[in-house]
Amino acid sequence: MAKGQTSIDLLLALLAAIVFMAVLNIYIGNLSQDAAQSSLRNSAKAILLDAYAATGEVKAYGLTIDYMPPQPAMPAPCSIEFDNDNSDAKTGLKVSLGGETAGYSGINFDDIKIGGSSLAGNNTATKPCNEKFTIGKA
Amino acid sequence: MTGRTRGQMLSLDFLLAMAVIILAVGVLLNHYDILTTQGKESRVKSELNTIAQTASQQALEKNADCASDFSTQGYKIYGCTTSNFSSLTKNYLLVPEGFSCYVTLDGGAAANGPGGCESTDAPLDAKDVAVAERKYLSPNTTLSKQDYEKCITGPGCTAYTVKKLRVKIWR
Repeated sequence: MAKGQTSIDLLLALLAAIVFMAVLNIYIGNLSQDAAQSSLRNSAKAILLDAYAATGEVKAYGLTIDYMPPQPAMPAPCSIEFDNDNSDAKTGLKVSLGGETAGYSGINFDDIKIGGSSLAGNNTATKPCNEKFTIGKA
Repeated sequence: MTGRTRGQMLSLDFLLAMAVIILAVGVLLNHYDILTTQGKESRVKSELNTIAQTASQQALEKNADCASDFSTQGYKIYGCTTSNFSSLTKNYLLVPEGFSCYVTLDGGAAANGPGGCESTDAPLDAKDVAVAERKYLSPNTTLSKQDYEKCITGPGCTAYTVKKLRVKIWR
């Protein structure tokens, strides 16, 4: 090999490194997007479980509580829907957080009041996650 | 660098370096995968436990009619119920769709269990199962205020029998 000549090994190594880095970059990009979505989904489920447990306590023990939902790690539009409307046969609790939703269906909120309004009689109530509201027993 | 002949395209050093890099990336991804799986399992367990606890609370408190004779005098007896849960339903117990429930009393299937729950135990291949167990007082006769107060103040209480309620949740 003459002085100053770039070896084919070096060129191949550079090519392999560039291809490797490009693939890694795409993979990490997808991974971080998946991680962000997963984080939102997990936050929605955590809020759902917390609201569900709080409603269960209220229903069992006849309490009235000031409820503040746990705040998601990533800020995003968030709401909690208490759906006691039997007409669509899908009564339940649903959390929407930045495009991700988590919910439980087939549960009964007949004797629950949200913000002072009873859910009995096919009513629904939707509350934002960043505000405190009362959950009480009707 | 190891010796090489003219025209040899890949050196042994290069191959070894690539192997080490691939191994390192593999180990990192495996570690990430294990952490993700552990987190997911933990969340599933927590969810099932919460549902089981909530369902058992509803079962005991909704059914509590032990102080029927004197409840208007400000008495509310927590953790006391008859052993007939047939007036309850799965959706009243707040067990969501997609989850199954099975209620036992003192180890045996509840003859008058909540509607909508299973009449047999969870299948052996159910992967995610949680059980909430609660002791409760079952009145032997219609509970009078005198019996209730006697049981609070001292031994020799025969008004109740201690029983065990188990709510099993799986999906």
